[in-house]
Amino acid sequence: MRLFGNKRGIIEDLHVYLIQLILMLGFSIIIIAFVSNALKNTTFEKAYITRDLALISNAIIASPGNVFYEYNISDYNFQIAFIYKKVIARGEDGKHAIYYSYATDSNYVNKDYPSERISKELDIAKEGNVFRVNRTLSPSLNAIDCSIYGNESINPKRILIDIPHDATNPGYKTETENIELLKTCGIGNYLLHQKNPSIQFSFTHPIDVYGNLDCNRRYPVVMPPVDYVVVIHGGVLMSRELSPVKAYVVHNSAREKESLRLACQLVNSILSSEKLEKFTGSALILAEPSLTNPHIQIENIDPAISTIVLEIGNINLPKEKNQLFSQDAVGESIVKGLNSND
Amino acid sequence: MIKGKKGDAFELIIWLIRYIFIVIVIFVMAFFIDAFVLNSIDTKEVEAHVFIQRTIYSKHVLASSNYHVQRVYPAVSSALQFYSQDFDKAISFYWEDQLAANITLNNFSKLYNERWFENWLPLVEYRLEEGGNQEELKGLGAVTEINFNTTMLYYDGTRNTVVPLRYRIFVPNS
Repeated sequence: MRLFGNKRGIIEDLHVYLIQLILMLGFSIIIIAFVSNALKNTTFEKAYITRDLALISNAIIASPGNVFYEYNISDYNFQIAFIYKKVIARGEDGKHAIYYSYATDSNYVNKDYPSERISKELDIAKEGNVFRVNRTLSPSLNAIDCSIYGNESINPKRILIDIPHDATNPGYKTETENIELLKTCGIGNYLLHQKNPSIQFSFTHPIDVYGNLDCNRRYPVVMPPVDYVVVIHGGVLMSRELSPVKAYVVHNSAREKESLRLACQLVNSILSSEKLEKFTGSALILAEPSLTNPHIQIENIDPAISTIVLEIGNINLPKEKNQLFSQDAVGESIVKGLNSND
Repeated sequence: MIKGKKGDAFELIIWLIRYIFIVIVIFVMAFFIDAFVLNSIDTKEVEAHVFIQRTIYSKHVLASSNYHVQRVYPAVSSALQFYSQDFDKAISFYWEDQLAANITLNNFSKLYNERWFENWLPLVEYRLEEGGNQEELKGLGAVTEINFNTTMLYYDGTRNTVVPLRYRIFVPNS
C-alpha cells in the first residue's frame, strides 16, 4: 500500500493507521493493567504464606521434643494471626483475609496468636506441652512435656512448704548452705505473704514475731492435712555455669503420675519466668522416698505419697547469675505452676 | 495500490486479516503472561507426608512414649495401644474435610477422619470409561489418593518385630 497515493488515499490510509494506533494503544493498556494487577494482588502470596505456616506448624507439633522456629516474612506487609487451628493472613489494612488450617493436638495446649499488627518475623515454638506463636521472650527449650502425665493440670488447694535446712540438723553448715537456707527461706516468705485464696499454704517452720518464717526452727508438731508437700532446695553443683531445675518425685507411689504432672507444671513455670536468669536444663526424677524426703518427719502426712522436691538452680553460681537470689520471682513461678492450666 | 471497487474490497480483506492477526497476538501474549502468573498451590503430597511423619513421631499417635524417661520411640507396643490412641484428637484440623486416611499396621487397621474417608471412598474408586480406558476422577471436586508404605517396630508380647505400616490417604482437590 502506498502511503501517499493521492489525497483520497492519504485520508483513507490515515483512518487505517489511526485504527491501528488505537488498537495498539488499547492492547498496551490492557497488558499493562493486567501485569500491574497481577503485581498488586497479594492473594497468592497470602495463600502461599498461610499454607507454608500451616505446614510448618504441623511439623513443629509433630516433633516429639521442643522446637523453636523463626519465620521471616519481611518481604510482605501482612498481619498474621493464629486463631483456632487457622493461620490467617490479612493485608496492611486488616482486610482481605486468607486462611488455611493446621492440625492441633488436643493433648497439647494450643495458644492462639490474635495479632493485629504487621508481622515481619514470627517465632513458632513447641515448649513442653505448649504450642505457641510469637512470645516475645526467648523460648524455654528445656520445658518438659506435661501431657504425657495426663491432660488435666493439677491444681492443689493445700500445700505444705518445707525448707529442709534447719538448726536441728547436726553438723557444720557451710557458707553456701547458709546462702541456700537464706534464699529458700525467702521463697517460703514470699509464699507465706502470698494472698491467693485458691491455695492454702502451710509451713514446716514457725512464724516469728515479725510475721516471717523462722527458718532456724522446725515444727515437731502435727500439721494440718495437705494435698502435696513441696520441698524447696537449691541445687549444689560444682560447675560455675550449669543451673538446672530438677524435681524429684517418689517412685512407685500411689499418686506417682499426679505428682509428676504437678512437678512438671512447677518446673515449666520456673523455666518460663521472665524475671529469672535462664536455666540450663531441667529434669523430673523418680526417686526413693528416703531420697525425696530425708528431713520431713511430720505426723499424719505420708511423705511417700505426694512429696515433690524442687531443686532450683545452683547455689555455687555467682550472685548475678544465681536464680536463688530472686526469691520473689521463684515464689511467683511456684504459685503460677500450682495454678497452671497448661 | 489497486484502484476501483475491486481494489477496495481486496484492501478490506488484507486489513481484516491484519486485525485478526493482532487479536491472535493479543491472546497469545495474554496466554503467556497468564502462564507465568501462579494462581494455585498444590500441597496435597506435602500435607500427606507431614501427616505420615506426624503419626509416626508425634507422642500421641503411633509412637510409644515412656514417661519415666520422657523419650519417644517410633514403635507400637501393642495392638491395644494402636487401637486405644485417639488419632482424631491428636491431629485435629479446622476443616473436617482436609484429609482422611486408612492406617494399617501389620493386620490392624484404623481410620483417621472416618466420616470423610467413607464419603470420599466412592469418589476415589469411581472410574470413567473413556475410549476403552478407565480413568479416575480428576479436577475440582475429586479426591487424590496417596499411598505410602513403610515399616514400624511392633512388640508382639515377647519380642520386637518389624511389621509393615501402610497408609491410604485421601486429600480433596482444591
